[in-house]
Parts: sequence; structure tokens; C-alpha cells
Amino acid sequence: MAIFQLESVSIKIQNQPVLEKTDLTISRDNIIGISGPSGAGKTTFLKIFNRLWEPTTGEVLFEGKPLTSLEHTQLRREVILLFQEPLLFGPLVRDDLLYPFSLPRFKQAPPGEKSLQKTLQAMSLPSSYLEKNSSELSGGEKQRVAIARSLLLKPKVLLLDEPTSALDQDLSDSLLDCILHVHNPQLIIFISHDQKLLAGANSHFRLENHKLKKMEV
Amino acid sequence: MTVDIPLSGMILAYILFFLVFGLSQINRLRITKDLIFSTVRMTLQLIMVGWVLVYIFEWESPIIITGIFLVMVFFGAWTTMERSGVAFFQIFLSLLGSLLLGTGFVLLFFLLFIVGVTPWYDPQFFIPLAGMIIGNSMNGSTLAVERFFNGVREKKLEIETKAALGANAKEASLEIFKQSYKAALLPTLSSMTGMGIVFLPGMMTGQILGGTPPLVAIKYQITIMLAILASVALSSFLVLFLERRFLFSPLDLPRYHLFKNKLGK
Repeated sequence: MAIFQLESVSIKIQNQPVLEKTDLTISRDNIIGISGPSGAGKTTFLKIFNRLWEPTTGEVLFEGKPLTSLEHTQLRREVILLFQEPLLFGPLVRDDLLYPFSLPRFKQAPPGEKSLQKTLQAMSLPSSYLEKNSSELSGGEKQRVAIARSLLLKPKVLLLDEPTSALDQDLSDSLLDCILHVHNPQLIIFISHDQKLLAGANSHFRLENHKLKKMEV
Repeated sequence: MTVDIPLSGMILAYILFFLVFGLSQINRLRITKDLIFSTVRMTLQLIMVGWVLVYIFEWESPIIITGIFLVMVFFGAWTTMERSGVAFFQIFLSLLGSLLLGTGFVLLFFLLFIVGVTPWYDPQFFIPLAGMIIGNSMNGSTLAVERFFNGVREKKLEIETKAALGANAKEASLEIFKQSYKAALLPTLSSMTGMGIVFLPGMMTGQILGGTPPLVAIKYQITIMLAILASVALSSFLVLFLERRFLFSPLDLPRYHLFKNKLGK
């Protein structure tokens, strides 16, 4: 069954087309890789799945319902986007992991100690990092904490923008496995130029000249 | 008892001016133009406002007094918008609304309940109090508007990251809101702390010189400081609330186009 449907979706940024009238059906249990030249609008494309950006025309359906009919802040917790530049709020790594649970509108119980430790370990970080100052982490470590923070929300869909850009080779190669080890989202869409990561996807699209082109995996 | 300054005294005061003038001439400080301009301007402005106040004090009309209050708030909102560097019509409207409500409420409360002036529009009380309350609220609002705008612009990624985790505009910009509000209150708070020890406030000095017993003068000073604090706090909070609504879209994201080519101050 389809989790996302794009119905003649077009995207423009300041009158510059990013995507022209596109129809696309995305099924569950899928890992999709997206590549394309820089400046093609890949990040903006990713943002339309949780309304961090609105398509110029057309409609996006999530589980059969138009995105515009869903409460957008709740949607963004079910369809989580991780930015290329990871940002931690601190002061401690623990505070960062618990930030999404500190928003009082969502009555979501915070994860227990074991769950925090397990998620950090899956991202190759020792559990002692929970008490570490967020500002002292390296770029790659920040990226891993940011991924862990998203996974703790147990999202249905994970959108990753260049997730391996700050990671070392070992973790880059095993990133998808590490993620699936702690949580199994119904869909992962990621942007990457990393051929190894793209090879781990079920399908691969290239965004170029305002069109999504299906590539061989 | 009020001691009036005789004309000869006024003339003698300008001797002090010529002292400064002479000093700058001898040392070729090249500030003669500024000295003359500022002194002449100050003299003319105060003579004019003195005459205006004489007439206003005679009128004692609630409509005219309310009209003067509205004009003061209108120009206050405009000046605040310009000084903050966040020049949008919606910001002007937000300032107008929050200054009107914040200062209007505190002013009426002060006149009716604290001093118990009858009638409430007695210009001798209304005009100087309105001036002090609006002036201080303008300073607070300027800081609030400027800090919040630049805060959102500089912390765009932080706001987006929080929004991507489900935060709404209020939650995503909470830290910036707090810092802006604090910045708005800080000048008033620090002047309250120094008051009486580091300096004697202008209003109190004026009252004492005019013959008011010091113990009465301090009562006025204490109550007016509390009124100023309340008005600064109220109008800054309101303007921040309205500014946040203007700067964020219904999707709880910054309205990016507002931040383009806007240098702020």
C-alpha cells in the first residue's frame, strides 16, 4: 500500500522551477536514495514530505490523506527530516535526546534510560556520552546524536539530507543498518552522493532538470 | 513653595554656555556649530512646549487630552519602528497596538487609583506622566523588536531544526523571545538599581527644586518607577507576541522573504 502519493506536484523557489508536474507513488517498507547536482533543489524536495516547504501546485498524500488536512507539527514527528548540518541545543547530549519530549503539547512519554543508551550505542557512541556537553562534540558525533534524537521519536518516515557527509567511512557504510537496528521506519528517503549508501537503497532517483528520473540500483 | 527663576538668572545661565563656547574656540575643537545648534534648538523647543503646555493646562478637555495621548503614541510607535530597523507596516501596527494598550492601561491605573487625580485628564498630571511612561516603553519596545527580529534571522537553522522535531513557532523561538524580553526590561531594571544611590532621578530632582518635600517626591518617584516598569513589561511583551505572529507563517516557519536584504541594526 502506498505511504506517499505525489499528484502533479510542482515546486518553485523564487520563480525558479525545482520540480515540474510530477506524479509518484511511494510504497511502504522502502528505502529510497536521491541524488542530483548541487542546487537542483533536493533538500527542498525532501521538505515537501512534512510541510517544511509547500509545493507550488499539486498535492501530497500521506497514508491516503492530503498533507494539508493533517496537523503539521504532529506530522513532522511522524515524518522526520534530518538536516545536513546537525544542530544540537544542549547543554548535555541527554537534553538533546529528550528535547522532542519536552514539548508539552505532545503527551509522548520520554524514553527510559536503557532506550537512550541503546540508541546512542547503535550510533557507535558510548552511553557515557549522555552526560557530555553537546558543544564539545565533533561534527560527526553531532550528526550521530541528531540521528539518535530523531530515532527516539520512532517516526514512520525518516528523511535524511546527506546523512553521511560528516561521518567517517566505517559508520557511513553501515548507517542504514545501524538505523534499522534501533527502529524500523516504514520509509526512509535519503539524499546522498555516496555510491555505497545509494547501493543500499531499494530504488534510486536522480533529480535533474526539474524531473525525477528513476535510476538502476 | 515654587521659586521662579528671574530673567537675570536665565541670562546668567547662558554665561555658562559662553564658557563652553570659549573653551572650544580657544582649543579649536571645531564643535562651535554643534554647540550653537543644540543650544538654540533646545531653547526654542522648550519655549514652544512651555507655551503649548500653558494652553493645554487651561483647556482641561478629556477629548483634547485623549487626542494628545493618541498623537504621542502614534509618533512613539513610528519612531520605535524606525529606530529598531525593522521597518514593516505590520510592525508599526503591532507597536501602535501594544503601546496603546500597555501605556494606556498603566497611565489610567496610575491616575485613577494610585494618585487619585480628579478629573483623570488633569493635564498637569496626565501630560508629564504620559511622556515618561510612553518614552520608557518606546525604549523597551525598540530593543524587543530589534532583538527578536535579528534573533530569528541569525538562528534560522535552530528554529528549522526544532520545527522539524514538531516545535511550533512559540516553542521554536522561545529562547529568542526570552532574551529579547530580558533585553527590553534591562535598562529600566538597571536604572531602578542605581536610583537614589548613584543618581537622583530627574523627576524627583525637579519636584524637590520646585518645592515639594523630599518624602512626597520619593513617593511619586517610587510609584512612577513601578508604573514605568509595568508599562515597559506589558508593551514589550505584547509587541513581541504580535511580532512573532507576523514573522512566522501558519506552518510555524519563519516567513523567509521578510528577512531578505534586511540589515536591521
